[in-house]
Amino acid sequence: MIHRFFSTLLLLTLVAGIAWAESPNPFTSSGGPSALSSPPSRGIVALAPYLRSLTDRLVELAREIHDTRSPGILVILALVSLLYGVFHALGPGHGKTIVSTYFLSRDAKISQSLAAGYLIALVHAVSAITMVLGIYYIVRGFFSSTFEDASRIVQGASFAVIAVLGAWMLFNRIRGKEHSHGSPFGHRQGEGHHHHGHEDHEREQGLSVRVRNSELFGIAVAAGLVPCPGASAILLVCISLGLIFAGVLSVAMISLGMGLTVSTVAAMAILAKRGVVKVSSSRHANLAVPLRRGLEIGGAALLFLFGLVLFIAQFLGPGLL
Amino acid sequence: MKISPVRALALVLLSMQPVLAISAHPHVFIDCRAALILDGDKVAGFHLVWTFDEMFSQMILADYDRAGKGSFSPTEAEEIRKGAFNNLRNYHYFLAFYVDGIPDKAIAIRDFRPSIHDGRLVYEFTVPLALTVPPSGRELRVTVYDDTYYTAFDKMVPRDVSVPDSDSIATAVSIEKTKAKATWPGQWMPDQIVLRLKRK
Repeated sequence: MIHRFFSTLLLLTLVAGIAWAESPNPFTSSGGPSALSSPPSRGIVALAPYLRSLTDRLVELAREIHDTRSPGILVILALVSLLYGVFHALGPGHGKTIVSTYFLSRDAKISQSLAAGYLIALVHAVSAITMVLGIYYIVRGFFSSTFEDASRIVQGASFAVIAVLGAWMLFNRIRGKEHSHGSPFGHRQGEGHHHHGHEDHEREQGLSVRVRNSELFGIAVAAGLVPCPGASAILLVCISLGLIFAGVLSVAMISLGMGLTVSTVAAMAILAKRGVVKVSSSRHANLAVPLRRGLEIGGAALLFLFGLVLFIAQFLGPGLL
Repeated sequence: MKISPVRALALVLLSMQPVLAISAHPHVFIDCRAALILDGDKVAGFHLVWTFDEMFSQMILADYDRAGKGSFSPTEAEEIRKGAFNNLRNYHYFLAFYVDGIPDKAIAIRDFRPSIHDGRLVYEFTVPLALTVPPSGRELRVTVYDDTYYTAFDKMVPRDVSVPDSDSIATAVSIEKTKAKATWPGQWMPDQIVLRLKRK
């Protein structure tokens, strides 16, 4: 009974978790709200005052550094940025949902959740720094509206990466099934290629397709490519005060904090999946395989479909959805 | 075999995450003040004053007050209207008016004026209204709310809404929960400014 509840919960999470998109800035973008934006939850509203005092504090600190050139305040700026990163990443986007969908459909080690979280954070930081400095020093013009326009294009690109990644995972899954030596199920502890007894191993280990480095890289690019508006804004404030080093440091620390949150969510996905697979394989061996296949194929198909739909919606306008 | 407590907890937390995450998180924060405008025994409009947070203020000031003089010239004010305000028409300027419970969808904007106070960006504008107050009285409800939650408005209290002294109209101000039902469990519902108008 309880395992059925957990299996259902896991599958629901897979479906619900994928619907994410960073909303455009209503003031400086052109066009209406994103088709996928929805009203806030009470949790986010409860978090809002903390986010606000953190952003206000970041700007005050940047001004103080400008006025006093104090290294001590630079350290405080770094710490507040870290905290901001942790809290900010609790909101939508920033790759948590895409990364948990991926890990629900894969068999992963906990250390891989850290790798994924920090790879995303790295892409996020590099993307924000490149875009802000590029617009400020090279494109010039009005920063706020140019940043919004550029973000929309980058977001379209990240949706395309998600779709391609989903298609690639589906393709591999189907190909792996056709050739049993393709090993859709992981073989640990030096086992050879068994054509029989797959289910025994699965039951013991709860294994399905393993994480591929190429996929992890794709996830990180897709999830981290759209620069965080918060990190970008603090970098802009810093460089407009002539504090490039402080700005880059702040973005790096924000990303470090985000990496922490994203890794934690990814680790929860890995633990949750292990728990469900283990329990269902011990109770109903006949349910375990379909559940795992459902997660693998479902996860890949969801990534593909949502990437595709969001990509099309991005360029044909929100009226489509 | 039982699911381990750690894994069960991970699953439950994970499944709650989309509920948190589907909604946007705020990047712009606004303190809102409002004023009712009366013309004789009629409601002539609703005036709004939005004071932005430090971060958004700095971003807009960096773009539109490049000389850093702490004020906007008429040309700069016009540039702000085009570059950082006009698009709000796609969001109904975050406003919804209800006259005796009936939504009034046509929102027009008059007298938009950006300014800088204590380093903060301030937007002021007026929504013209033409409402008579019948002998039975009239109830005007106003929601100030960004449905996408990119923008978060600070919680308002009745004294944030000013009402002019009038010989012919008495107005009671309160802040109340929106009556509409949430579309999904856990959804937050914004407050409404409620103005109960009566003839004296």
